[in-house]
Amino acid sequence: MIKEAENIILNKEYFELSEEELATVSELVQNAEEYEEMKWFLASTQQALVSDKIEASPDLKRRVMEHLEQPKEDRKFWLNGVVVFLFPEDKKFYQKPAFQMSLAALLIIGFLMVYDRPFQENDMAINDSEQILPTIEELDEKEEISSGEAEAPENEFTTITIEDSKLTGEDIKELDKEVLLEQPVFAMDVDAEPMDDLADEVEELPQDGFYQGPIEEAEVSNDDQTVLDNSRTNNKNEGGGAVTAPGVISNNNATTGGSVGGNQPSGYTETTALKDNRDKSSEGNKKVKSKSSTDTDRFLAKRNETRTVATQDANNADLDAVIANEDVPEAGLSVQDSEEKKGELKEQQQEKIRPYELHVNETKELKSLFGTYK
Amino acid sequence: MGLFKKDYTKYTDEDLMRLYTEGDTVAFEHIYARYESFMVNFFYRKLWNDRIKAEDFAHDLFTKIIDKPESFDLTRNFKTWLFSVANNMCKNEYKRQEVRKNTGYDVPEGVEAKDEVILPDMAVDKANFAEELKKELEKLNEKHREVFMLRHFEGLSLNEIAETLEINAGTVKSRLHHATKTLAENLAVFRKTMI
Repeated sequence: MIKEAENIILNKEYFELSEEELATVSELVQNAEEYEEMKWFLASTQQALVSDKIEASPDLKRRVMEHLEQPKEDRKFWLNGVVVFLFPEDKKFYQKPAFQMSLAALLIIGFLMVYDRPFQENDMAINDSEQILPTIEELDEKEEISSGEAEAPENEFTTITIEDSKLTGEDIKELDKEVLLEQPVFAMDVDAEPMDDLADEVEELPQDGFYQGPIEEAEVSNDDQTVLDNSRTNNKNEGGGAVTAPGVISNNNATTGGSVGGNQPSGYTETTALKDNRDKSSEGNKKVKSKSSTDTDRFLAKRNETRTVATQDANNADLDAVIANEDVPEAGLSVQDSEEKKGELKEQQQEKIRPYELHVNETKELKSLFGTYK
Repeated sequence: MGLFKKDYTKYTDEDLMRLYTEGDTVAFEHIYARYESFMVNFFYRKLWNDRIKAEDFAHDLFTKIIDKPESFDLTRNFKTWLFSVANNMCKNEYKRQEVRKNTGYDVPEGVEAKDEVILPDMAVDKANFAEELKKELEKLNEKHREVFMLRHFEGLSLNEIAETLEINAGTVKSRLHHATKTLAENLAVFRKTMI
């Protein structure tokens, strides 16, 4: 080492050196003359440095000690303390608290992001039933509603009195359909007066106001009865119990179970059935109960088919009559045939004009779609 | 009480710094006593023999240690760390100045450099040796001069110089060899007159 070489040169003469010392000093000198020169130089250098040194003034020490005794301002260095804590110099990278804390935060955040939390899923009640809005034709048919109903479009349920009504049996059937399509969601009409003569026979209304009147007394066809039975089964928990027979709605409702049988042969008069059902209907028989219109639509479709068939039969009968007799008295037409003709006329005449009550009915439809049971 | 009194003279520099970081201000006083002269003379030689500037730099150095004792890595050698900090302070000062202060090392403007040949009628005494040594040091490369001064002026070992300058020990050795030989050859004339 050079330090040892300098010490050897300063302390020993050239001829006193051993072989190892000669090898050491050979890094600086090659011969005895250079050895002597180096020896002189090193000695002179040390003497020059000693004479060139200065002493610090006492004022320097005083200033330094004053600074040492000053109280540390914690506010001034708090950030430095945080940084020093997070990034200590005497620790390896993976031992630094900043690295460890950030790693822990990443793990926690990653776990929360990956973990599929079940409450994120909206397990809302699934509505199995589908409501089909009435077609324009069906809405147009409502124009033939009695004056009483038209005067009170805001009422969700129309109250029709048979005495005042001039409806025929077919008209009553249309009313059935109308009432069925209007899926009520709100409370029943509390203004309706119960039928006193049926007080004993009427079942108690459920709290929700939906009627659960007996339908076994209604005169319904076998197919319709099946439909009704299915609807009762499916709609037990949908706000009010079994679906009543279409038509068996309210006290003043002219529809009856008999009207369900839209496939009745021509000549069937519903007045008798109407009276019977009225006698047997309960106090709260004013609304359509079922929210689910699946069976109802099915029933309607079926009835339309039967009516179509009946119409065709009627037409065939007319044709036969025409062939036989040119004049076909209109009185000889069945109720269904006249109704069909009326419907056709309406379709031709009115297509776009939609009176106020239809607009109201549409609003009711929307309400029924988005409303809830009370 | 005397049994529990600490003998700070037996503590190493690193132990004293550790005690100071824990709040023992007496430990720092001992640190200061050990290195006050070293640092003042270091700055004095580095900063163109300016005494006032040397003491100011020494004051700044020790106040930095007082304010931020945690900046010292306890695993390192305190002496080399202290000199490295001081060396960096000088470098920053050089950059600020850009031009070295004229304190006699450099030849003033308008005056030609002296001839290397010593006139026979001029006696070269010991007093001139120091001046000539300083001049010869200025002629050296900065890297060689730095190593030579740390070795002979500050008394650091080869390894300590390597730690201070953050270079290889072999590099320190080669630079020191070159500086010593060069200075010895240039100042050999004084040997003939001084003997």
